[in-house]
Amino acid sequence: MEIVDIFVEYPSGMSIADRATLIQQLETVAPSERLAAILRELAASEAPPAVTAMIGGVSVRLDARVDGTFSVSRDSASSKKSRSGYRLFNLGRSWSKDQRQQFGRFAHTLSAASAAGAIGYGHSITVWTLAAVFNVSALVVLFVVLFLRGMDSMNGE
Amino acid sequence: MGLGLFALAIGLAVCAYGSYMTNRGRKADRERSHSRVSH
Repeated sequence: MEIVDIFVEYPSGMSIADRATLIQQLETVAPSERLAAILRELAASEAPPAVTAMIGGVSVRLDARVDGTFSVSRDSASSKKSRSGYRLFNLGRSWSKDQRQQFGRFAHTLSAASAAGAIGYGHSITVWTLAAVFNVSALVVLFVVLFLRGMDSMNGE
Repeated sequence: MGLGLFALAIGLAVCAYGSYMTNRGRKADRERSHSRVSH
């Protein structure tokens, strides 16, 4: 058994986040009696909700069962299995909002370093060769690209 | 020439990785908030 996060979303916009017990052998998620009672109560006035659970870091769709528990959707389960092979090429878990903000700051730091490098390099050159022009141009390009990338990564979402 | 190539290689690699992971994070956030779409 495992404790998992469960999310219930109604078409009206109401969302409920709770924790539930995953029974792996039965591929079943058992919610708390409190959540089950709320869902029964809301069933009278709301359209059927979409229920998902975070299992192993993956959002998995759940199907409601008559006994009040949820079964792991067959589609979700198969896609989860197929992803395990893909993990070899996975470059890390997807970034949270804070991580994206941090990357934006990091990109801006590199951007500022590129600008400082370009200015310092330019002032240190006495003879402008093709290589020197290329180096300064590369730093200027990096300054612009990293600045824009950083702004996009911290777009105030 | 070497400095420019080195800086470009490192900088663009950081940019590409950051763009990829940022987009993945946003996509994951979108799917989480619209949980009708699952993995």
